[in-house]
Amino acid sequence: MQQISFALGRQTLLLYRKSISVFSFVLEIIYELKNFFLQRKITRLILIRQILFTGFEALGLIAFVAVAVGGIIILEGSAILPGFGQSKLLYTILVTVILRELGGLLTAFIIIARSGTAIAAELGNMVVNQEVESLVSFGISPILYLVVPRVLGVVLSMIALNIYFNIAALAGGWFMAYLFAPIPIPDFLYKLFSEISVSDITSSFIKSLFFGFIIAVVSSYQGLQVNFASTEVPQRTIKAVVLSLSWVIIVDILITAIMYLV
Amino acid sequence: MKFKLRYSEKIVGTFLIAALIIIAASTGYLLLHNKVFEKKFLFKAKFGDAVGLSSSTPVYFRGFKIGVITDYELTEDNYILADFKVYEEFRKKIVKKSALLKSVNPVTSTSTIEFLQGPENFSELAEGSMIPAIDIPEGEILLAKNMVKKTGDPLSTVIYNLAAFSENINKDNNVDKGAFFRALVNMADAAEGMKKITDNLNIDIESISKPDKYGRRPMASLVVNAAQISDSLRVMTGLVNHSLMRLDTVITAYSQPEGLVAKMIDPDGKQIIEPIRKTISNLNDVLPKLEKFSEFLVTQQGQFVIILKQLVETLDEVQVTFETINNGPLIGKPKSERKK
Repeated sequence: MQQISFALGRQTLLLYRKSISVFSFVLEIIYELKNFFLQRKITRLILIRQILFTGFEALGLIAFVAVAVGGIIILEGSAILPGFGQSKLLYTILVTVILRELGGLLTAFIIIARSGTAIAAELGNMVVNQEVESLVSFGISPILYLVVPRVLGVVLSMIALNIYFNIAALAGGWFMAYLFAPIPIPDFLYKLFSEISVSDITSSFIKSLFFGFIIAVVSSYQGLQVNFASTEVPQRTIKAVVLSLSWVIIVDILITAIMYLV
Repeated sequence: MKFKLRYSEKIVGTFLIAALIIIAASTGYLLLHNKVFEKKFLFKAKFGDAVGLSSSTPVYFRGFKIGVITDYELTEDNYILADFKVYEEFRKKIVKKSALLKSVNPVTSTSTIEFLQGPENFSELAEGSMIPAIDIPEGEILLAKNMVKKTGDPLSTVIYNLAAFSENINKDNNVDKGAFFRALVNMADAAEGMKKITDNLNIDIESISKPDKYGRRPMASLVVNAAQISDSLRVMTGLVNHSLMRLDTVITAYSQPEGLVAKMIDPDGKQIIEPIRKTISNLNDVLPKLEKFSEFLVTQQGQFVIILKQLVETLDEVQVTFETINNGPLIGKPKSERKK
C-alpha cells in the first residue's frame, strides 16, 4: 500500500513538473512573439522556409486528399440519401464534415506527419550537436530564434492549408455531383452557401489556429527535450507525433462542443 | 529546391495571399448570400411548439429564402411567439391570411418553415402583424377554409398528414372515432378465428395423412380408389357400347322375321311376332338415347379423371398451404415447434 501511494505521489509530482515545464515553454513562446516582430529580419528567413516546407510543399498532398474526401462524401451521400428523400442533406453533410471537422483534422494529421516529425527531429539533432548551447552562449534565445518562427510558420501554413483543403474538397464534391447529375457551379455554390454559416467558417479558422499552435509547440518541445544521445531523437519524434495527435483530437472535441453550446 | 529557395518569398507570399483572398471572398459572398446587410421587415409568427426552432431558422417560400425566425418565447397561453424577419425583396409576398408551416425533419430534427401565402395577393400584411402557423387554431381555420395550401418536405409532410389524420379521427365529435382501433380489434379477432380454423384443418390434414392401424393412408387410398373407379368406369362404358352395338344387330334382324321357325310358330305373325316386333321397335326408339347416354359417359369419363387429378393436386397444395400457414409467424405454431 505504501509502495502504491509512493508511486502515485511520484507520478503526480512528475506530471506536475512536466505541466509546469510545458506551460512555461508556451508562455515563453508567447512572450518571445513580441520580440520576433521587433527583430524579424533575423528570423524571417526561418519563418518563410518553414511556411514553404510546411505549407506550400504540402499543397499537392492536401489537394489530392481533399478532392478525394469531397468526392467520396458526395458519392456515398448520393447512394444513401435519395433512398429516403433527403438528397438536400448532401450539402449539409458536405459542409458539416468538411468545413467543421475533417478539413481541420486531416490537414492537422498531414502536417503532423510531415512537419511535426521534421521539427522534432531537426531540433533534437541541433541539441545533440550542441547548436542550441552555442546559441545560448551567444546570448540568443533558442525559443526566439528556433521555436517562434516554426510556431508562426506552422500556424500560418495550417490556416492556409485548411482553406485550400476546404476549397479542394468542395470542388471534389462538385465534380462528383456533376458526374451524377450535371449541376452548374453557380447552383452548386448557391445550395452550398445556403448551408454554410459564419460560425462554420469561424469554427474552421479557430480550429486550424489551435491545431497549428499545438503541433508546433509539442514538436518543438519534444525536440528540445533531447539531452545528449542521437538515439533519443527518434524516440522524441514518435512522442511528438503521438502527443500532437492526441492533443489535436482533444482540442477538436472541446472547440466543437463550445461551438455547439454557443 | 534552389528555384524554390530563390523565389521562396514570392511563393510563400502568393500562397498566403491567395488563401487570404479565398477566405475573404467566401466570407463576403456568405454575408451577401445571407442578406446580412439587407433591410428586414419584422413580423410576428405564432407556433404551437418550439420543436426544431433555432435562433436563425430560415423561412422559405416556393424554394426561396424569404426571411428568418430569430427570437422566440413561450407565451402565457402556451404558444410560441417568434420574430419573423422578412427580407426587403420579399416584403410584398407577405399578404393577409397567410400562414406558416413548420415541419420537423425526422432525420435531422431540424425544422423547415414554409410560408403559405394567402389568397389576397395584393393585400399586404402590415409590419409587426402576426402570422399563424397551421398547428394553432388561427392557422387551422385558414387551412380548413382552403385559404392556404400545404407544401414542404415530402417526408415531414407525410408524417404531418398522418399526425393530422390520427388527431382528427380520434376527435370526440368524429362519428368514426376509434374506428381505426375497432378495425384493428376486428382484424385481431378474425386472425384469431382464422388461426383456430387453420389449426383444426391442420389437425385434420395430419390425421388424414397419418396411416391407419393397417398401415394404410386414407388420403392415398382415396386417390387410388378414385383412379380404380375411373378405370372401371372406362371399361364398363366400353362394354355397354359393345353390347348396344350387338343389340342393334339383333333388333334389325328381328324387325323383318322371315325365317322357318317364325312361320311355323306364328304363321300370320299376330300372336308372337307382332308383339315382339313392337317391343323391339320400342326398344329401337330407346337405343339412340341409350347410345347418347353411353357417349356421354365416355366423354364424362375424361372429365372425371381430370377432376380426380385436379382434386389430388389441390389436396397437395392445400397440404403445403396449411403447412406454410402453420409455420408462419403470424398465426402459426411457436418458433420452437415449427418444422425445420
